[in-house]
Amino acid sequence: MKHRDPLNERGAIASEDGLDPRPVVRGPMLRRLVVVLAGVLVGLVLVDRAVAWWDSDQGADGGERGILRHEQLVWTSRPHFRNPEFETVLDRYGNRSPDIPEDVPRDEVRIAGFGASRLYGAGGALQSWLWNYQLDELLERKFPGQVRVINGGVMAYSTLQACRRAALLLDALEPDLVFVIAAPGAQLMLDPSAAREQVRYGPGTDDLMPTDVAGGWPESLWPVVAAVHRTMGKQSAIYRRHRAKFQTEGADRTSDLQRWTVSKAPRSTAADRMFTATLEEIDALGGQCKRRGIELRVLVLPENDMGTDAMWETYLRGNQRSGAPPLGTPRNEPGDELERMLQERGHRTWNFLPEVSHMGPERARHTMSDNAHWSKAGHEVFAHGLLRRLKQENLIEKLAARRAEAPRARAFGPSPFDATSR
Amino acid sequence: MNFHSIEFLVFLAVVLGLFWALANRRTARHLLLLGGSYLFYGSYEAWFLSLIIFSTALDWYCGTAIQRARERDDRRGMKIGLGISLIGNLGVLAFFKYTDWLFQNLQLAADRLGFEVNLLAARSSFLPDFVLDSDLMRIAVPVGISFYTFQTLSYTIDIYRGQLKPARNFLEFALFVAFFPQLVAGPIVRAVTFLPQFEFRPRYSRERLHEGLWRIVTGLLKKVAIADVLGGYLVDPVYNQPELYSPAVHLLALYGFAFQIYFDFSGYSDIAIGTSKLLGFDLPENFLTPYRSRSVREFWRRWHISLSTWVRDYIFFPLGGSRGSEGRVARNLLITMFVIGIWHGSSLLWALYGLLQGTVMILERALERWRGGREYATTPGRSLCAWALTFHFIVLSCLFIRSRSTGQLIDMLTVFGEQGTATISPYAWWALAGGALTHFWPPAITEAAHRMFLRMPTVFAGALAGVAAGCVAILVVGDTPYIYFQF
Repeated sequence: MKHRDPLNERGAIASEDGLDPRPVVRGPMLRRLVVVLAGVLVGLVLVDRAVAWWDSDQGADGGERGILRHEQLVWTSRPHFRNPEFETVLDRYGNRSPDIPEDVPRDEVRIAGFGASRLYGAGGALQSWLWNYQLDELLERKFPGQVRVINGGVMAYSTLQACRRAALLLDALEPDLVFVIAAPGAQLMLDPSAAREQVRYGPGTDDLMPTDVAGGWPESLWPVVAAVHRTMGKQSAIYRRHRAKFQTEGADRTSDLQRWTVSKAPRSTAADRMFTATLEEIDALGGQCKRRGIELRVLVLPENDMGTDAMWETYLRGNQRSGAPPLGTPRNEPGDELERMLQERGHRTWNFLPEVSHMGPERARHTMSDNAHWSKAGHEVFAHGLLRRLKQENLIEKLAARRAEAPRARAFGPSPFDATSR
Repeated sequence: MNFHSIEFLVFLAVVLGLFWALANRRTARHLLLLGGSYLFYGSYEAWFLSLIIFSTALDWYCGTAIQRARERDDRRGMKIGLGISLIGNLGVLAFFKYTDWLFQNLQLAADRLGFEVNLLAARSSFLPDFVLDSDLMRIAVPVGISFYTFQTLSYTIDIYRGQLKPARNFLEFALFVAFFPQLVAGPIVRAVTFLPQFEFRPRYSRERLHEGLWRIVTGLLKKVAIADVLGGYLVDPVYNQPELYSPAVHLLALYGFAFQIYFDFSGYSDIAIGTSKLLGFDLPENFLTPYRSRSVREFWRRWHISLSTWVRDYIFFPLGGSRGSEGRVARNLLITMFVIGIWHGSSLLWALYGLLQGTVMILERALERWRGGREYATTPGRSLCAWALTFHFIVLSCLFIRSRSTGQLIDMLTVFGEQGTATISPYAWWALAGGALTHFWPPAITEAAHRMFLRMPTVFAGALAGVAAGCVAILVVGDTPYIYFQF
């Protein structure tokens, strides 16, 4: 029995009087499925183009343009990036500091700080408000023209990334003192490394792709996967948004770890794995600095929520399901515990709890409107904290003397972000 | 593999193409669907497959044994077959859902009595590692186990009752158990309505194709544009830190969760029904705008219909249903609703949730009896009043669903902060307003849009589906599994 128009049949189940002997005419159905698929693709492309238009319209000074992909750091600040709105002018390495001139004295003392957005000066802080400019100014009074302060902070970094970036810049900057920020919270100490690791799929310097993209595919197919990933990254606005979300939100820092903080409480397996990786990266940076005769300080910078007892109590109460330390944990315990662990591993530390406690009661004055990143007043407190510790250790004098004995052979080295970045 | 993922889109396109290419080959298309279903389920955790295969084999064996015993007129054999099925299925379900609860309470009792034992560690030591959630050291509950357990139980019970003949072959029975569109969160399908659909070749129509697409598109938007936005921007922040928000924000979070869970679950059901339609199968409806109900009894006839009809047919009716004295009916209602509660989870809150629903149903019956058997909502004013009371009772009882502990529930009701409604994200406002509007506006509006979609050329319908998929891709925030996956 032949069917005239099977596409006008209604319902999947045929007549109720028994088995349906009529064959299914497949051609028209398959054609319609192809039409649906074509329609779906058209719809997706339309949305994608709309998103691309929207993103290009919104992104004149957007954060993404200031970001550069990098094989070891995953992202870093783009050298020479400018954003007049916040006076942002990055140097040739992507640091938020003025470029080092060619004719700089070869014996100047260089202090370079590496960390995340608080150090970088996020939240709309103008570049001239930042800690490095204020510290420069403070040091200029006693050591005119002798000290240069470099701000190596990068938005949304973990301590692990900050250490890697510092290590990459040691030869180019030849700093005398490096400090790296270690805040006891999850963002800095628990690097969701699965989202930030790269795998190599070919011999070229560019033949790298994120581990999570390669995950699950046979190694022989990696070049194809990488080609698709790269093409999608170039062509699809939706894909770019997805990758951006993934990179910033992290892959395996699960919700029960989002508010994890160093304390005496036992760590879960996942937290311990990520925390240990961070400590090992600090050790590695310590080794590199030691080999070059560079002083390293790990600056233990408590979170803003540790500013007052009341804020800390609220933080603990609100984040028990997200990995916060047990209720009743003293406010100083996270910083002290982190400091103890770092000192046990042979690192010299600066604990900035007094500065954070100073800002805490007047948080609105010391932070920008986002209630997280420092305002001009906040950067000033931080700069004074640094100056105080430099004085306590008489460091500038020591470093100046050491540098006078062995001045630099060149003003600065080539940027490590030129060859391998894209 | 979530429905709102690119992986599922590709998976569905491949399965659909192959299925219709094999439309004239019964065994081949069923094999394809079974293989696809196992691939889909195995994508969550490969070891979950061992459980579903065990459940399938057990009930296939029991169903056949019961039927053979029936043919021999062997009542005892029938009972043994049914007993094995009940013990096997409910045993596995109880192990995964209730073991932790049992051990936690035993540990608590041991601590109070002063025994120095670590029962939880002892429990972990005799279980294989893959059964434990690695970080939390809890027994991992396999996705969808409650759904397919009830589904397979209905098969053996219906054969026992003489309402169903066993499936023709193991392949079709296995496909009935594992059919991927509804495997992990329903609707719970009965063998008596699903197995006969295997007897017919799939017939396709333009209207059916558009209907399937419509359900998928609306389901995706319900999940991603409303449920996930409400969860991420309103409900989760407030439940996680109730001490920061004012009472008005707490109230909005209560409404927000009521809409979140409805749009999340009904979105899943819509996609399941739509996907099945594209494959030529019909699944039962699971929701009928439940928040329009004017009584709690009506609510349960409109909410998770496949579960409420399951417990009605296999628990409430066998207990005596609405026959007998009022005390007996009240008992039946309480038992039935208690089962619905603990079907969801093994906590005190779930048990209380079920009992609370049952108690209100008993009160409604008492009110009706007091009025001489007449309904209360006989005038527009009373109708409105009955709706408002029912809706707010349901919203309030959602506290028992969303709270992870009694402490959190109490915090939501008693601990407040200073952040007012101005701190709520505009996305949350839009999602809340959109959810309420689409739920409460006249059904004619939805019907008109539905009819327009059914009539438009297929390529436009596909393009609209693509636009919806694009919007979903932009809106989707991280990995947001459906709320009902945990049950």
